[in-house]
Amino acid sequence: MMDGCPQLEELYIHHIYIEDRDEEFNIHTAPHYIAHNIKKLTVCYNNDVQAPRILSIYTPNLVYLDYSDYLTCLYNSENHFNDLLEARLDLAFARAGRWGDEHDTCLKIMNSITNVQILHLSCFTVEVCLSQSKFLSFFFLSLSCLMMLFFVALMC
Amino acid sequence: METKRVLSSSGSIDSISPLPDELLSHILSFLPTKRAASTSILSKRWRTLFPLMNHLCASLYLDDTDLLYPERQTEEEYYVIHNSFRNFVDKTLSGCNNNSLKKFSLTYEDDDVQRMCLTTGMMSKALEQGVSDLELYIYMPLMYEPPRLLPDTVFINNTLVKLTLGTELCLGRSPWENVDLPLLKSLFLHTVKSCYM
Repeated sequence: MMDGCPQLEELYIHHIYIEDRDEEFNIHTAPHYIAHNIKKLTVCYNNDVQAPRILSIYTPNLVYLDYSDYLTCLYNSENHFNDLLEARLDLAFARAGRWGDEHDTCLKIMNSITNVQILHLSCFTVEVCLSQSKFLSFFFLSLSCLMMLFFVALMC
Repeated sequence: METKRVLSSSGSIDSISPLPDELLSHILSFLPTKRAASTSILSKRWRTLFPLMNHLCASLYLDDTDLLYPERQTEEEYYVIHNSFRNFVDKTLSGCNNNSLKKFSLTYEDDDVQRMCLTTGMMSKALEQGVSDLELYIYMPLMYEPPRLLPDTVFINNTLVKLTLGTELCLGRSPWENVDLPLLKSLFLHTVKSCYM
């Protein structure tokens, strides 16, 4: 995948909720598998899902990650993002209620960004983190390179 | 060098008119194309500046909501207005020198299946001019079998550096397969779908 764009540095995928047409666009949400040497990645899914959405990211050279989604996605990332400088996370519980495995998904995402220096967390991400005690130790022990931490208030 | 000071009718100093044509036409390239084109009717001097911009360093920002008259609603008028928009885009693109076109941005609502091939033609023409920054915001309504709106040259192209595709647009193909964009650095996808559901 994405072999046809060898020079690509920046990929931006934005998926908004469209009333009446959500089902039509939901089925073909592209792509679920991102493997490339890109440096900047923005994935923003604003549409709630009925079934888990799978997102696999294999981008070893990533410097900037902006990820916004409901925690109903199945997240995969084989390697840590070793060069990651800045990350923005906006991860929320599904609108319809909790599915049960959100904390594991959230921790998986957090674990892949432990080298980050600048981190922005949305109020929804903080809500997820605060509802599990294991996140507290994660913040103190795992984020060893962290220089700046921002909390971002978002409108619902 | 002697600086010419031009006084406008109100007596204040006109600091724009003494600027060379090339510079003025470069400034025009930052404006929405409708505004840039409308400067042609200001005076004899300005008549040539918009064509000069297209000849030297064109950046076209075309938006049908800006160019059309939404208050005209009858079917016949709708047809005439869309036709005049397409003619304007066509004429402007024809005035571009080969490789002078840097950016082509088109915001368009395409709900007439019969004439979608004309929209495809506009995009093809911009790509033939060697555009490096292509922005297509084309809204397509729900259709049983939507035609393939984007020309293949959007995905197989050796001049594109930045590509933006959106919103509520059906690509009619995968954005990842049979792609050859050797210079592409940035790809933006805003709520697009690959094919018919």
